[in-house]
Amino acid sequence: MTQPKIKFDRVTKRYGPLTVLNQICLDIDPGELVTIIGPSGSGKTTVLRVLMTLESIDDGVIYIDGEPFNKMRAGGALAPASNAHIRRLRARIGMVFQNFNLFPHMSALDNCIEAPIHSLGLARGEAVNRADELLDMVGLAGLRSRYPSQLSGGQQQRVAIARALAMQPEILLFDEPTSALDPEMVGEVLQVIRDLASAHSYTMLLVTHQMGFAREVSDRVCFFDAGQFVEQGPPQELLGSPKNERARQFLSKVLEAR
Amino acid sequence: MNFDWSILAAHLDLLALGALNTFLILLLALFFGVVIGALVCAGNLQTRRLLRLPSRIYTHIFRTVPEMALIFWIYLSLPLILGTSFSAFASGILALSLVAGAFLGEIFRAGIVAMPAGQVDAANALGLGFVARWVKVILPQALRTVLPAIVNFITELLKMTSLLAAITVGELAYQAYILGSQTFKYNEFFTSVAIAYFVLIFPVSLLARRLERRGGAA
Repeated sequence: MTQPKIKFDRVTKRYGPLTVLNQICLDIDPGELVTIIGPSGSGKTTVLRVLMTLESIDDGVIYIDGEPFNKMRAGGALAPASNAHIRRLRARIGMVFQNFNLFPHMSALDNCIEAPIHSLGLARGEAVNRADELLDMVGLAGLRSRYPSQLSGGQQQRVAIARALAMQPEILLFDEPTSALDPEMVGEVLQVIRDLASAHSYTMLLVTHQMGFAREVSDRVCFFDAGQFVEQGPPQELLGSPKNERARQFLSKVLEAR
Repeated sequence: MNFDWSILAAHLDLLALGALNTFLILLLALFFGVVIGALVCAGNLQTRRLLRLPSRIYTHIFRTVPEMALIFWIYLSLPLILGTSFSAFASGILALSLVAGAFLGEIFRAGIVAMPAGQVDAANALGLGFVARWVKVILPQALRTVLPAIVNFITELLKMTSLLAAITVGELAYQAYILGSQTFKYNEFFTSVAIAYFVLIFPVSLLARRLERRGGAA
């Protein structure tokens, strides 16, 4: 049995009295593409945010490649992780946000080289070469000097994907990457994600409301509701004939609306 | 009513000295104001209430006390407390710096608070450290947002420098007052000084308006 790339072990996250993640457990294999679906406000995004260390967790352990992430091994026990430890493991993860979150005062190219230079310590020339390759890969080779305000939503999100890839992550997190896009731009972003899934070995975790896309690209779909993974399985199975009542209700609503 | 141009020409050296002093006061007060403002802003951004308290108190005091009262207080009362006195010039710089610190601190804070939280998320997700996060992501955006407000405040500060005439700091308004009283040509001196302030401030004010419009469009 292979070591899971990512492992959530009874992870709990609370906001005041509200428990957003209630002892969630999830194993994701290397190279696997797992999609998380579920009602709005159920905490799907929080799953990604705690993994990216944008939120702290209150209880439980997250493992990356078998190494505790939010904790570190000290003797036989687990101690709170040092900043250096978190930084080292976090470098394996890249994230793409719903609202792109590109840096508006930087060109597309600068968005993609800033972190490689400062975080990875790459020389500027090398960072530029790699950024150009990535911008080319997402179909934006000619737009490297444009600022985010001069790009369409779909183009911005593709720059954001290139920016995340520029950090050479092994794990990619997509937080509703097409929810903020006009309908005609959804396809171009999904195509980039599709290419990443088929041609590369990234481990990917995707939160989306695009059920058709989830069915097409996912190795596994997880239904998340009320702070827990309620049901999971192969896309055909979970999206076609869910066993769980809440999953069934959710899917019938979502599919009806289309 | 005759307007005596020759009296202006005769005292051009003192007027020029006044203008130079005004400019120097503005630069010094602005410099110390930025330093104080950055500290006040850092305090105001603390999440713990207790850590925020000193900055809150500072801001409230120096935004509410009238500048004139503060200038007199620092020049006349502070020496009684400290047991040593400062020159009028130093007292004036201190008073304006304290006021500038309070206003600039609030302006800086507004710029930082106005930034979408997603920007910091992105910087963190990309592994940018504390310094890179501030220097590359937060400050450039925050400064761009509040640049019109800063430029506006600079015009206010320039006008405030004229208050230092009250404690005999030899800036532009003071020179006009002294020359006027010596020659009884108040009209000539105050008219020309008023025009000089307008000529100095109006372009800066226009610049602020332009920056505001540009900021709104972006």
